Amino acid sequence: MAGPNGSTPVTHNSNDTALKIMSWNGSRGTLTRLLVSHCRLHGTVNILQLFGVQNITVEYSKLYDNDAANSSTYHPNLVEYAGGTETQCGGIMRSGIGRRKVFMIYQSNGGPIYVYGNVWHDATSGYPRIFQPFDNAQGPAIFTTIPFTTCTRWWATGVNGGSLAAGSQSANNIIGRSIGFIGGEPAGADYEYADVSLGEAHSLSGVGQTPFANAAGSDFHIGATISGFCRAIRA
Amino acid sequence: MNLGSPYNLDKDGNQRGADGSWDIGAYEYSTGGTTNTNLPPSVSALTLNAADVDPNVAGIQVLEGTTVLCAGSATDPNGDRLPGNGSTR
Repeated sequence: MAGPNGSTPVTHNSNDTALKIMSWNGSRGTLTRLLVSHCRLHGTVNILQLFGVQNITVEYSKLYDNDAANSSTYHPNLVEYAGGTETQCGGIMRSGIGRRKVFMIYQSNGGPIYVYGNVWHDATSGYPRIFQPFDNAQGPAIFTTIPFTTCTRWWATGVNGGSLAAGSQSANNIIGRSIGFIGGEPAGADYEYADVSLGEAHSLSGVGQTPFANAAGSDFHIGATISGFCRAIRA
Repeated sequence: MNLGSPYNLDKDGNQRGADGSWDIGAYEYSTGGTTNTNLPPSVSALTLNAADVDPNVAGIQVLEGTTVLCAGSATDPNGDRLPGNGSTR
């Protein structure tokens, strides 16, 4: 998973981006029906920025190795998403393995956005968050089947007045090495496994056992020994 | 959420919910909980539709101008799509 700086995470003094998709002609326009597939995007402060994009699919790609030399000025984001004026922006983020810092900030309208089938792991420091609606009510955001480790926060709402729009969902996720939330989860969050208390009716939390086959070896398949309580929680 | 093809496959290409329910996490559970081994494809022996006109020389010898069809097939035990099966003249 080493990037251009070898095994040392890249740190830049500029707010650069690996892939920025935006239509600009004096004001932000709209782009529709885009596919990013089988790509490796890495080694910048921001990895993927989507501004004014409708119906984009990101699949079978790896987004990793992003950091900033001055994180108080530049917030490294794995995915930064700003919908602009559109109200229909369906995105399916299937990004493979992500690494480091804030995983996603989602701001300025748009949605729904679907995030599923990802493996996100090994974020560092005290700031990483999986999903942060930056301001206002964003989404709905629908997350499912995402195992990840060493993530400081899962949902982070209310930081700058951001919240989750009605209809947001969180289900079938495996939340590992997390210290919980800032703000709250979606109202419909359920059927998850976590090492923190979730307060969900059908979820398993505080089990104290890694659900993965070999997390240290980056094998995030479900482990055989815990399959009895980790498999098929939701039909 | 009930997404259809191709999003009902995990990163290994396994069908999600084939046993009636989606497993938790990004990968559908497989026995043993380990990564599925990507097995190599099986390739059949090639056959030619032309006879060897000079068995004293190594290889298959045909007369100039003869059209020879070389045929074979390949299958993948993981069900991965193979770039192409066909014949070569």
